[in-house]
Amino acid sequence: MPLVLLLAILVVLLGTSGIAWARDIEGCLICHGDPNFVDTTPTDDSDPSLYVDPEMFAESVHAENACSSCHRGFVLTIPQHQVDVAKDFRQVAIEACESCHPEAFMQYQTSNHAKLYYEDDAGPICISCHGSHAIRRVRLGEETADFKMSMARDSCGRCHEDKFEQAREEFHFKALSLGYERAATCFDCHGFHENLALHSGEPETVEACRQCHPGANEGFTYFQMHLEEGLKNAWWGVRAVYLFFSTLLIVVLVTGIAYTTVHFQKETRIMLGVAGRGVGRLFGFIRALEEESVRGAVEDRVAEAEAEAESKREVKADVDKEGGE
Amino acid sequence: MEEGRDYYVRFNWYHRLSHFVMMTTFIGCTLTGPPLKYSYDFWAQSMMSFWGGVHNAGLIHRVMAGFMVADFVIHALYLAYWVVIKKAGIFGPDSIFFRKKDLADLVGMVKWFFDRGERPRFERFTFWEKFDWFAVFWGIAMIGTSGFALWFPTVTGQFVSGIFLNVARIIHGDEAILAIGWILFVHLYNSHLRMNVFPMDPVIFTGRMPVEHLKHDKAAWYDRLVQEGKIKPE
Repeated sequence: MPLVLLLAILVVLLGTSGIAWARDIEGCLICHGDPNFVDTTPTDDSDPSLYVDPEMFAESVHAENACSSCHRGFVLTIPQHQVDVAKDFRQVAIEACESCHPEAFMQYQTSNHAKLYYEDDAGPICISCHGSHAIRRVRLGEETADFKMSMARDSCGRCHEDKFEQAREEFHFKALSLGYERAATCFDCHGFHENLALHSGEPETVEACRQCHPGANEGFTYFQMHLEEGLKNAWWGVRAVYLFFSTLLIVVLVTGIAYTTVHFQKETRIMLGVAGRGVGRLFGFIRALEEESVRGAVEDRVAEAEAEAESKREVKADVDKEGGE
Repeated sequence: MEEGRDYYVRFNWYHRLSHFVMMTTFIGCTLTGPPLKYSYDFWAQSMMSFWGGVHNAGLIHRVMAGFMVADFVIHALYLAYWVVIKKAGIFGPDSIFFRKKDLADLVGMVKWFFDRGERPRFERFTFWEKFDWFAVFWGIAMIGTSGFALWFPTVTGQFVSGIFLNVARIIHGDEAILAIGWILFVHLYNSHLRMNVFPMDPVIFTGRMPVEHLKHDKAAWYDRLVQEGKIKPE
């Protein structure tokens, strides 16, 4: 009874503290809501923190659920004393998801992800992709581009980083990254839970493409969404085309810019008045500039001397005039 | 136009209009395409937002491309009219098509750059003008074809393997960069920064070229026009 009273007081205190705390009817967050709450005897190298951010959970789609609706069998006992955490936890986690999402679970059962899990306990389960306490509230078909991109990067891309990086080079992800939410992300083609491999020319690949491209046929599926760096996994024709057009791009632009540059140096020399004086070799432009500065200085001195001589001559003429009178 | 200056009408209204359409549609495609190609670069998002998102930019890009291709098709018909009906000489001095003299002019021009000879006496079209004109054919063939292939991917799939969509993306992007680079560094230099035309050669918009400019820039054509009595000698 004193424990219940204590919980009640805590709940009221937290309720008035103004923070959007999760509805914690079981009081788990009393301990797990403390960032310093850690497992002092961790069984493996995993993060020893037992902290669940209450605000993050309150924003998740499962905020209304009690902790024990997913953490089944863990009620009111200290978990690691009860079960082999590493193994059983994953089994319980799958069962917990299945209990509310049976259809998704059935789809998952057919996937290569499930096959991996049943072969090896470390294989991907629901929470490997979806996360756990921070599962977002997303309506099917109303996913934002940002969500689609982050799912691809953080969920699929966590294991399939190479595939994600390759697909990023094609238009779908490029458009998605700029906010075009209609562009397909990983799960739009590979399925949410079936996670199909999708090879070119196979009927299920045609079906996947047809969701957005109704006219897609078998030939269409030979488009490669995941071209390796250096186009290693591509048909040789793609590499040949890439090589040809890259070379053309460089050769033509370098030639054009080089031509324009030598044109420019000539015209600059014309404007400086130093063209046609045999300096037009490579770097003649720089020499011309130097010459110009020297010539300018010489001209100034010549002009000065001339002006001086002129004034002297005038004086002399005046003197001659006077003498003549 | 300045008073007391003689002008020669170099471009008629069709020439000017077709260049104007080509220019505006080119700029339109240039401003809407690259943000998608370089979507992960820091400037892409703001440039795309300027157009109101990927969808709108794509729409503008396609409308611009449509007008550009239309401009190109009309030009092809115009050329066909001159060659087939008017029987104009393809390799004549008035033709914009390449001929032997252009190679000699190029060599002469490079010699002139290094003070090894006089500036070549150009005819109606200089070789760099011809190259810009020719580049449009190459560009439309490459960028236009690959663009339509990407615009209608499932139609492309009806005729060729889908791998050609990968190929089309490579060609479209590479050739676009080539075209943009060429226009920025070479075409804009020739039409804005050459000492004879700085800050701008307005002839493609006004159609009129001062005779004194013509005499210097295209000496061979000037001589021919004087001979034919089309302009008074300076």
